[in-house]
Amino acid sequence: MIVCVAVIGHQNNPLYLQSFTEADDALKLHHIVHCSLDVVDERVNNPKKSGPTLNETFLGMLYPTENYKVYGYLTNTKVKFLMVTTDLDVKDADVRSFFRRFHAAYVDAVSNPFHVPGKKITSKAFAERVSGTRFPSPTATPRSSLEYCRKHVDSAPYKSSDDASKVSDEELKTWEAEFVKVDQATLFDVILVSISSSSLSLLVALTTLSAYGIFQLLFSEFYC
Amino acid sequence: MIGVGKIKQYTNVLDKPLSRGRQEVSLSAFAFLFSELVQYNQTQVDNISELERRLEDAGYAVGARVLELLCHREKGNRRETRLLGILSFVHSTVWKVLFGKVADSLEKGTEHEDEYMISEKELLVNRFISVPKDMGAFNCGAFVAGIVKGVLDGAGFPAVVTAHFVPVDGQQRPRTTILIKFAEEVLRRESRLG
Repeated sequence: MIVCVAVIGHQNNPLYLQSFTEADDALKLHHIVHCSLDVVDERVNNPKKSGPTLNETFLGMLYPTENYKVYGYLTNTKVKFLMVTTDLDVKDADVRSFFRRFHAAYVDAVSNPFHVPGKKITSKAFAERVSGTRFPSPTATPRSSLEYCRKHVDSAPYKSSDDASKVSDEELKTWEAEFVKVDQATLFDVILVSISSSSLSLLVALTTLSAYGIFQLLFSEFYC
Repeated sequence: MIGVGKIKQYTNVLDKPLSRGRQEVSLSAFAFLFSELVQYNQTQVDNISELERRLEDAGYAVGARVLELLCHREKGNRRETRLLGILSFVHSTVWKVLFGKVADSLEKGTEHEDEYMISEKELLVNRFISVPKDMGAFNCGAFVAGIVKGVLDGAGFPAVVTAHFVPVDGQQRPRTTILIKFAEEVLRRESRLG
């Protein structure tokens, strides 16, 4: 069972730290992650064998403690991913595939134009994807998009009768207006999800309109 | 990739291709967005060098993200530690993903050890831009220089990157050269690695 994942920046600053146990030893897990950074540095600067294992992204098992094992992964930009697990026998291939999915989630989170490189990753979609990849499952849709779909499905039967439809359209519009009044990071995440699942074209239009509204607001501040 | 085709609308779900296809953006959409970017920055600054710096900063953000994305997509990925390795990565892979073709040439500077040049007959971003005479040597390729700088910085090779027009005999329009000047520590590390 994976108990903790961490993303460490290239200056060894923590960018994302998430533990999955309810116990109080979250701090202990952070400490283990911190100690494993030394092992990462050691591996990177003094490679044991030169040749094919040089400059590999997957670093393998870094650090066994009494209950946990720590695995590491290094990206091209010297960003490190660390994973602490309690599983005693875990296959290499499983860890590698976990890191590959984690890397994909990380790249999506960093591609956010509102993300400042070197600061902590505050994207909720990233957090949800990470929580979802612990158990092998298809891509997790953010909760907000699910809410949106559900609301529209519920309102669909109203469209059959004329009297009720007008009221429900307005209601829907106000609900939609409230729906997109979220912070920028969530907005971008919802745009990403809606573009990737191309059937939610209405959601794309709505969120990009809202983002356009934000841009207009920002630009108008600059122009006047 | 900029500059290829328009997106086809499929009315019937059975006609849609199974794969997602290559992600392509139309050249006109990009040219419009880029011209807006340049004009917006022009209203914010007083002089040319400030404008170049702003375009470079915009490109820097793109370059950092492009590096992350490409390193993730490439299978059998290795972290580049050598100078020539990262330069050929920029020259072929990055250029291919962004502009659809590899850059025209990669040369080592003759005067200084730490200078390298990537040349292109005509940068894609400059295709619909004509610089007025009173702006002197300003080159909107500063945006592309920023992208290269972002990629190099992210990979651990700090450098100063600029874009210049180089007149070529026998051709009306000058060639564009991206000049890359690496920092001291990069050269020291390179000589140490042997």
